[in-house]
Amino acid sequence: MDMVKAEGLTYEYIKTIETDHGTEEEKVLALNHLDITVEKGSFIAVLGHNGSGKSTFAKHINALVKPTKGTIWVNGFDTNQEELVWDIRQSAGMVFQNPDNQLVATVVEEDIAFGPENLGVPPKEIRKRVDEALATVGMSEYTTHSPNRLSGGQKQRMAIAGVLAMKPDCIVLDEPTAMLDPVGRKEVMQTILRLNKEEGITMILITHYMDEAAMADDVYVIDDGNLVMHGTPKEIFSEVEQMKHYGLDVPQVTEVAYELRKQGIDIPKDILTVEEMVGAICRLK
Amino acid sequence: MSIKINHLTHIYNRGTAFEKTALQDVTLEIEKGEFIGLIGHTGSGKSTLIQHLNGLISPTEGEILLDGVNIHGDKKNLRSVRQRIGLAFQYPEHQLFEMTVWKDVAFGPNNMKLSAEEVEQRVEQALQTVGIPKELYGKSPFELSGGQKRRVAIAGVLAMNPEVFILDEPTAGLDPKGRDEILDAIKALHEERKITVILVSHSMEDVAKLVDRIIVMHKGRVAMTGTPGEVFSRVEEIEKMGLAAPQISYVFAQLKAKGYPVPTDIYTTKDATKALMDLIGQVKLC
Repeated sequence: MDMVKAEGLTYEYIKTIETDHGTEEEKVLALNHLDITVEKGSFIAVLGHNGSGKSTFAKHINALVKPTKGTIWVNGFDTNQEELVWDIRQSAGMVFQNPDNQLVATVVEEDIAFGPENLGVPPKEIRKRVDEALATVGMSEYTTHSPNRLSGGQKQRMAIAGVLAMKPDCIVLDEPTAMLDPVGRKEVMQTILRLNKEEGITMILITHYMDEAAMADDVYVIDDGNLVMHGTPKEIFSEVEQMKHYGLDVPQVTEVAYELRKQGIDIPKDILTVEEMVGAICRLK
Repeated sequence: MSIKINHLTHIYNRGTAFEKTALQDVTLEIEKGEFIGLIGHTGSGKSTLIQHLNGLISPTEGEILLDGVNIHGDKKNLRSVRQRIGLAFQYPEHQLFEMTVWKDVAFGPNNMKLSAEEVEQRVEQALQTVGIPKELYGKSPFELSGGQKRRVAIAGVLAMNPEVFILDEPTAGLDPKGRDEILDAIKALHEERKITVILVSHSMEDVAKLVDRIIVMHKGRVAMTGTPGEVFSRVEEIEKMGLAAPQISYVFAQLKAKGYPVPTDIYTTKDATKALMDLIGQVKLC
């Protein structure tokens, strides 16, 4: 079954602008007729420049915003139906960019327990879920610590554990590594990959880091509310010029392969990793 | 203006259970007009260091000399230190507050008791340097894109005419286009004004593109300093410090390990393409 299915998903809003001359209103088309299907158990990445609509798309999956037109089904639940909102939010959890904005308690385990407590899960089961979730993200030793002394990467893994304790089928991550250093980014990406491969949780990752998107099964590019590209990372990133046109980037090795091809060197255009690049160069010899 | 840091040590919460040494015997010299990249993973001490430079915190031991004068020597000097050393914090756009872009940038100079013409000139110049077009001057800063907002915030610091400009993670959270715009603006301000720029970043690619010299902090100490080429050719050591070199540097490290005659101080796609073309030209070697 599909984890997320969007059909003609459209979202419009009225933006009010305060100026010296008073208030002005402007209609903004944030999402324009999007058709996206995310299979259960897959890992997809959504790219797009700031203001492209990708976060608006993410918020639809959690029913934080409802479509103006069109429909989005999450785990088969139509987000337009008010009474399904809790089923939807239990199916798809969200992790945001700033870890400090999503921590609610003063002790790590209490923070993780917050979600299941609100679902009315019995205490014994909560204990079990909290321990399991912290073990899954590699944070068991911090169970009774205070979150304010954790690193950014640890806080984000804690936020992921908090979502895990609600037993979701899908996790939507909106730029979860934007505020982290390279170590923190690596910790979070490894956690995302492991949860996807081992626990089969569908991962929807919104990111500006092309190397992160390169790890996904499928990549979607959104530009000014339109879905403009869709394919495997190799298909997407080998379109260097198109990516730059949409204000995006490609991994350094892909760009070098592109430049070498321009100079007549016969090297594959879909190189994404250091290993692929080194292999391709060795084969040239 | 030269900055001289002598045996700087900073200990937070000294004498309590939370005692933590953030900086340990740091000695550094930064010349006038240098473009420095300050890197280090979270907790390496880089933020503590820049807060000292701006006089926001005082050393536990050691001193910081600005043109030979200890900045923490006389508290009355701090105001002038902060004008001479501008600091753009992380997410500086959170500090925008005025009704228009122009007013926001003018806030700092207006508080410096300058003439109206002088303020006007500074604001105009600062906005030009960061590449904000005239038609945005009258707009509310909150209507702008993320990258534009951040450039306006940077212009606000620039309008104070600092001699040293410190930027803490100026590209965090921006998309590639916004990132390039900010980096271009920083490059422009360094070139036009010949001021000292200290760029604090986790992003090795950003640092590699711009700076003359990199200072790597690790566990409160200066672990490495050198040109980007020198620093990024030491990929293994950088990794051990929880950092990463630009992706392309790894390709050259691996090619070298396989015995290919390649340079290892490559960190931009432009130099990489050139080095690989050179290598391919000598194919017949193998």
